[in-house]
Amino acid sequence: MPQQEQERQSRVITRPSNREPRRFRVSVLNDDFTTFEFVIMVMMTVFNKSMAEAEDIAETTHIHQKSTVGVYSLDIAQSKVAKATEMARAENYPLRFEIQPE
Amino acid sequence: MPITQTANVTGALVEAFGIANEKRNEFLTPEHLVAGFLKDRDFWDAFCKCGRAEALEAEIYQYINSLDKTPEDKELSIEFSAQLKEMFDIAGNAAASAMVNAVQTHHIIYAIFQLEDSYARFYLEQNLESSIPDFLNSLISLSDDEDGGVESGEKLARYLTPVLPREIVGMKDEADRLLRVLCRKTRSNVLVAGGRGVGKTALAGGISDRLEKGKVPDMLKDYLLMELNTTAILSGTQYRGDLEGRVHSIMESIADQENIILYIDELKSLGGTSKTDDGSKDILSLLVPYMKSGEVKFVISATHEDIKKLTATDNGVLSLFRQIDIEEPSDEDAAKIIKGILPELSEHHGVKYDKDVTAQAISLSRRYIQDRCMPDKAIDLLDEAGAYAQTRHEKKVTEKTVAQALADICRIDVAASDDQTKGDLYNMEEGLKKKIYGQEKAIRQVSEAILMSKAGLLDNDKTIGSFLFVGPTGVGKTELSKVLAKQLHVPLHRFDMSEYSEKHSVAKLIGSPAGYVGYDDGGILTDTVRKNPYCVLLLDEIEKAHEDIYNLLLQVMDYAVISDNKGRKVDFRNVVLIMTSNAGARYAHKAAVGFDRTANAGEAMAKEVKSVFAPEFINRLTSVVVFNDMDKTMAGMILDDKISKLQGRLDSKGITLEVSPEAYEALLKEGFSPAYGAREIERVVNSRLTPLLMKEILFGRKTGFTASVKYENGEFTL
Repeated sequence: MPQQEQERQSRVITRPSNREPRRFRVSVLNDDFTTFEFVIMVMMTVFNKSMAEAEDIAETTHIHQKSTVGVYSLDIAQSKVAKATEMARAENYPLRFEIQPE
Repeated sequence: MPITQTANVTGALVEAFGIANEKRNEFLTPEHLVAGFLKDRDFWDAFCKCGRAEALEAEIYQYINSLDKTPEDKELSIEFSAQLKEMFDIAGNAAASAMVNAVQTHHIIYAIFQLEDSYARFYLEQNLESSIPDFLNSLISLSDDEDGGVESGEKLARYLTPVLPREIVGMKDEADRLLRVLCRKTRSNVLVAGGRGVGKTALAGGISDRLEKGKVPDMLKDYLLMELNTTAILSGTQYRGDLEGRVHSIMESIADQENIILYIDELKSLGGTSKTDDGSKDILSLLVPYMKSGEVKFVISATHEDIKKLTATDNGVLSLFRQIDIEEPSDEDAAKIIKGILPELSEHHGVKYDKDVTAQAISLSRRYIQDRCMPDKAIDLLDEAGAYAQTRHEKKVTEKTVAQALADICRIDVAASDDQTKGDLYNMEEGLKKKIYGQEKAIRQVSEAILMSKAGLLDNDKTIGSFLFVGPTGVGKTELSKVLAKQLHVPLHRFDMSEYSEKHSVAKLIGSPAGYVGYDDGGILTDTVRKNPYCVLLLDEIEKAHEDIYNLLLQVMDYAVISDNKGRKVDFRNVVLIMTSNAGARYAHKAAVGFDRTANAGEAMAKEVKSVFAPEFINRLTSVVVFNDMDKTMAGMILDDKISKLQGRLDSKGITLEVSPEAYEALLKEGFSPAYGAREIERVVNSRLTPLLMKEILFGRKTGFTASVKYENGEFTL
């Protein structure tokens, strides 16, 4: 319980952002080398998609060059993308993702 | 770039991992870390001063719960999230630029405030009311404790435990006095002294309770009673100086806190009652400066013996304390105390205690348990009774249960405290007569004395009976003692006084004085009686003992108590003391010549006894029991007994013994000797009968035959 309302302007912060954290959309991009199966696997393991959802995303990517995977906090978005990208690079796939603020 | 982090940070990280593990999150995020920090008391308190800790916690957990959970069947692997790595980077740089070699809490928090679009940052900012720099400052002073050589708050917890508050009955004056002493300016230390089990530790609980309820002088209102864990202090110290350093840092932080009363449960645990080689290792001497200065208030409990030992080695320490003695409570107070404890015991054992068991436990434990004090011994007895009932799946604790529990504790036969014994006592005289032949008078005297004692008609401060058995050798003096012990269901302890005929023998019985070899071994007699307070004590051939032993016995017979070499008192009130003597045995034999034997034998013996033993010795005896010498009937009965015993041995071989009447008479004639008693008969049987059988058993018919012993022409034949 706030005893007294303190003056907010006396705060010294390096960047003036007290907005609510933004949410970020993660999209997966198409390429000619990454296999269907791999994309599905990544969707299921890293992004917790079901088989059906994963297939759907893979299809859409193939057709439309880009497909939305999900909306997350920045931290999670970055972390998941990093993980998926690393997995792809390990298999020599050039799979790429995009993170955009919502 | 600093490569280490402080214990606080590590602790928070470990907690964070725990949370992530529990929630099966794949990433460890700054939010997890904040949740981890919130679990630390100091951090929480610091945040509370600057903002709303509960709201922060709620929001953080809301976020954490929204994160993806790895399914149960998949293996969980937790990684640092992108922002967590970023955060550590920033924190490391911050620490480096501050020129410290470890990342501290405030570096971490500062780093979180630099993150973009971070929920951890957002929630922290939301719930912070003071400014960020103020909050960071308060975290910095937290870290100061980490860096310093002083034990920080959480580490101190390793050595101190709060004394659990306990409502106590009684001891109000003592508690008041204790609190008063603590209010003093100097030497505000208390030494709580009392016997084992009298309630010293309980008093500490009571003080804690009063502190909690505020029923204390104003000066002490914010104080806490904490117990010092001496083994924790000692553990892990290897090198010289380790212990000193540790004790000093602990004391410094306690003194800083300014509201701790230090309770130490046993003076002994501080050492100091026996000097070690280098004399530097006892905690007590390290604490003395703090006791003197009054920076820390001490309450130490000790037994009177320990205090004595302490004054022997170091007089100065005691003057730093005010001693408060705790006496044993009266029976009414003890009953009240027990009433308070009974519900707990009841619940623990799952049994119900009868109404009367409290009073019974108090009186029984007062009578039979000597090495501890009330109220503990009564409570102990009730506890044991409860366990007894519990293990036998009985639902109630009755007087009988308590009696049985007592038997276990003090090793007295259950029968001794049972009502059944009355039957045995009634038949005791008869039972004795069956086993001992021809000593009706003696048996009667002894039985009477014992029954009187059991009925409570005799003086309670004496032994059950002190008897001097006199008579010729081999008429049953030792035998009577054995049989008596069996009838009373107590052990028989025999001491042959011919082994104690020298001056130093007293030391064997009650222990050597301090400084002599064998001081620690104790005395045979005192140890025996202490372990078996209910017994028949047989001192054979008392006239052979050294006169110092007589003096010892004088005290036993008069006051039923001896102090051993260590000063402990041994209770003889439940001992039947029997001393045997052959003094005047030869006179019994002599008196036989020419006169009516029985009358004069007795007189002659009595006279002789009076001249051999000092009057004050005889005076203290319950009675002098004169044993009749052997007469023919007695001899006959003994012969029968010996023959039947022999038969018993032969039974296992299937051999039946038949003694012809002539052989019987012959044996009797040879064996009967007033001078040598029953042993002669045994000798005759052994020398005449058994050799005959011996040859047959080994070389002849071996087993399963009937041996007919006949007497012809002065020879025994089969």
